[in-house]
Amino acid sequence: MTSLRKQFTLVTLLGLIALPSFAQGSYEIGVLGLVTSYKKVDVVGPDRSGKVGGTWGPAGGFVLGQSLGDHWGGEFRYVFFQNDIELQSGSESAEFSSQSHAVHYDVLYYLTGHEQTVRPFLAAGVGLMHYRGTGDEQAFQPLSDLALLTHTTQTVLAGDVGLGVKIRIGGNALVRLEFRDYITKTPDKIIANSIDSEVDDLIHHWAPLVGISWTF
Amino acid sequence: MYGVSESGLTFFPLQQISETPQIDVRAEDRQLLFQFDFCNEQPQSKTFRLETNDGGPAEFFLTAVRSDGTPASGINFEPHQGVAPADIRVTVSSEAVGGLEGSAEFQIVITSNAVNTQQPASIFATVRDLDQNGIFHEFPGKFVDIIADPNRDRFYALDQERFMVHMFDSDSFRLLGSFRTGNTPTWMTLNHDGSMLVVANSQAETLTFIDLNTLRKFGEVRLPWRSLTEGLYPTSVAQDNSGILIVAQTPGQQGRIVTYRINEFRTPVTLGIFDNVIDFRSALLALPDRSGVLIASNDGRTAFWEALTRKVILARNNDFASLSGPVGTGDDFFVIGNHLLNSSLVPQRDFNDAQLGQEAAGFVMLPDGTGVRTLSPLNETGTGLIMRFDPDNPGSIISPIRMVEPPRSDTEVFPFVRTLAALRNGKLVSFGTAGLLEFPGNYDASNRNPRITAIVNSANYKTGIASGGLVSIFGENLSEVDASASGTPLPLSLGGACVTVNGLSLPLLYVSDNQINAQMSFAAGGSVAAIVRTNSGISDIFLANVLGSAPAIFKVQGPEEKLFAAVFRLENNLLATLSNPIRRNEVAIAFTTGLGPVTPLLLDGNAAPSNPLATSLAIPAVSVGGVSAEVLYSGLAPGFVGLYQINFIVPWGAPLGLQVPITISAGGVTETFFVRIIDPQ
Repeated sequence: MTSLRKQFTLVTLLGLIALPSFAQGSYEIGVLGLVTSYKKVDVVGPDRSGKVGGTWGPAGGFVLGQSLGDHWGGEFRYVFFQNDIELQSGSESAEFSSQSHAVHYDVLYYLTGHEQTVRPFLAAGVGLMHYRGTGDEQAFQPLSDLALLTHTTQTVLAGDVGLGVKIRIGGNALVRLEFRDYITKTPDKIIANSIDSEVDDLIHHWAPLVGISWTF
Repeated sequence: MYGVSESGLTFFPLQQISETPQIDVRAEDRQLLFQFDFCNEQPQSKTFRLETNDGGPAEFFLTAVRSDGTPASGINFEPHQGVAPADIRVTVSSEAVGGLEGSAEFQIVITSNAVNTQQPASIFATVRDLDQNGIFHEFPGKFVDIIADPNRDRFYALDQERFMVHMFDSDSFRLLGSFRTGNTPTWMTLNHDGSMLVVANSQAETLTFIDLNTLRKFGEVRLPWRSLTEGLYPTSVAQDNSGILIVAQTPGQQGRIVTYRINEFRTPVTLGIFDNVIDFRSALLALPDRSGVLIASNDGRTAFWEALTRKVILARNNDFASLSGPVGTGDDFFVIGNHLLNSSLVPQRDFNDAQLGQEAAGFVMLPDGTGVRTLSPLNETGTGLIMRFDPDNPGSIISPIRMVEPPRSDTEVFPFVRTLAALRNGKLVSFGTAGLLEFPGNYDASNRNPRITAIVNSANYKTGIASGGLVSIFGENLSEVDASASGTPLPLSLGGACVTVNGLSLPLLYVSDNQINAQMSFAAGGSVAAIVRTNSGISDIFLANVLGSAPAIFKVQGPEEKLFAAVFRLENNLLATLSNPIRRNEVAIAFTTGLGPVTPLLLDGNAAPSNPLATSLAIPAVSVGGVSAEVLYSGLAPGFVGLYQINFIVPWGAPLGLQVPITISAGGVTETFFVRIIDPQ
């Protein structure tokens, strides 16, 4: 965990350091947010199976971007996600409060040139996701034979892909509409396997986001 | 206030009454019960409080006397003199009842400069022998009637002292609730569908209706006055198929039969061919099929009210000089006191109770068509009898067994009583000296000698048992009833059963037919001979080995009857489980038994103190996943008997995992259990 925290800090610093070195085009700074969820994954126990994943919750963050040419750009992003974890099997369920923080650097490919008002783009990047199980632990959590929802933290590597569009609304202001899929290893300290149970390895963290930014 | 007397005027300064010292025993302390038996012969102590009013302190000097006024021996007060208010510790030894079996009642006499007349305060002492049957449930009151609920596992007892009906659970004999009645209740009945309990209040002109479905007092219904000078005071009540029948007293000391149907009281002028004038001290008792009601009068008359015709169709005047005592009915006979009457009210025979040194105290019919009678001793220190009654052979004395306490009821206000009831679960209940007596339906079954098959510790049910620890004794016929201790110090006999090891009586937590939970004596060690005694007999000796230490972790039952080791996280005071894992470097608390002697010394059966803590002499070694853990505390859990706790720090180097073994070792015995351990957050 300690090493992952160092990586987290490293990615942040690298992102910030990278900005001046590619300072050939204009820069962008903005905020974004909306909702988030993550796809429920399978969990299989010795006697039954179920699904575990995140409920819908709010998301918010900021972005620092730069132009890397007419069709290319780069962004350093931080996004906060508030998703409770939900474990379900049949009519039984268990919920547990959780949060996650993503820090990542993305490369953007714009389908139109930088002088266009509407700029659709594709994005991909890497970074770190810091998960926090924040719920109150119970002695007897429902479905504990499938997975154990645990009050602890875990940082994992994250990749993300997405698409979106930036629309210039006058002057230096942009409106951003985008969809991101963050892919991480399942945080197995927070969603821990129970005895003889298995939880799928990968989690897709979805985030449709709306933002506003300024270029300079 | 002034009073005129032959020699002049007496002056009462009423305004000064509240400024004058008055003294009394606190109301809830006015009946103190001390029970001795073959396992519990040591002197016992209880504390009561002497209270005063606002008039200031009152001097007191305490003595105890027998009912004939002679000084009692074996009873000591500490302090026996001083200034009230004060807490008094009274110690009673079995000498109080002459060192013999039986019961005795003593009055606490307060000699004081206080001006008031004190309320009676009594000490009851009973010494029970091995053959005395029944379980005593202490419950103060002046009981005069009891009814078993045929539809529910409950029974109802009428307390004339406190003007209350008490409702008890038939299985546990636990008080479920109490309802206020009118003044001086004397008799009860259930209504036609068993949904309502009806109480006759002899000094309130009312019937109290209690809804047994909603457990609420439905209300008080006042009997109408026949004229402005003639109220009706109900003394007895019964429900037949046509309505409720009431015996009511008029101011002229006469009684009348009153009927209550469809919210209307009627006082018929005649009862068929008879005038509606009877002794107001008459008991009403409906037949089991409610086709009629027996009227038994204190003046010796008997009559039978037929529900169909709503008239008295039978009456006999000259059979008895007087009638009193318990009443009961079978399908075709009646029992009044020690008299047996046939369905035509013709006396059939008298029971020879006096020859047994007893008098009739209770009668009840059982579902199998037989009956049970109880008898009170004629002298103060005798014991009561409970015996079977066979209607086909009414003169025979069947299975007379001495009761743990004499049946008791108060006939001061009303001469008839019902002291015995047959409960739906097969048990019998009777009024006792200062509470209720419980009897199993098979109280007289033979060949019920207790037998011990195993003695294990109560935590993991293995044979490693240690002094001061909790043990479970398994076997057969270990107790005739299920019973749990209600507080500490734990009793040495419970539910009629007791256990000794090498002659030491063990404090008991729970007894049942096949299991007894007890605390092993701190004084026991090595090979011990254990014996169980019950009302039915004595077990053979069972040999067990008591160790100095034998740690065993308790288990807590979770969902789906899964068992979890009783280890708690100090962080959230919750049981450590898979979903509440222990962290490295945090404090965990394991609850065990079998850690052996403690310091400071503690008496058997007493709850462990919190200041100072009772620390175990042997400090157990705790390891988590093979890594030694620091033990912060090892000793008795404060407030509990025989329950130990070990507070330890989960070491930083402990392995992580879902099932990390934790071992506790002491005295050569090692206990292992598994917990989930994760990293700190």
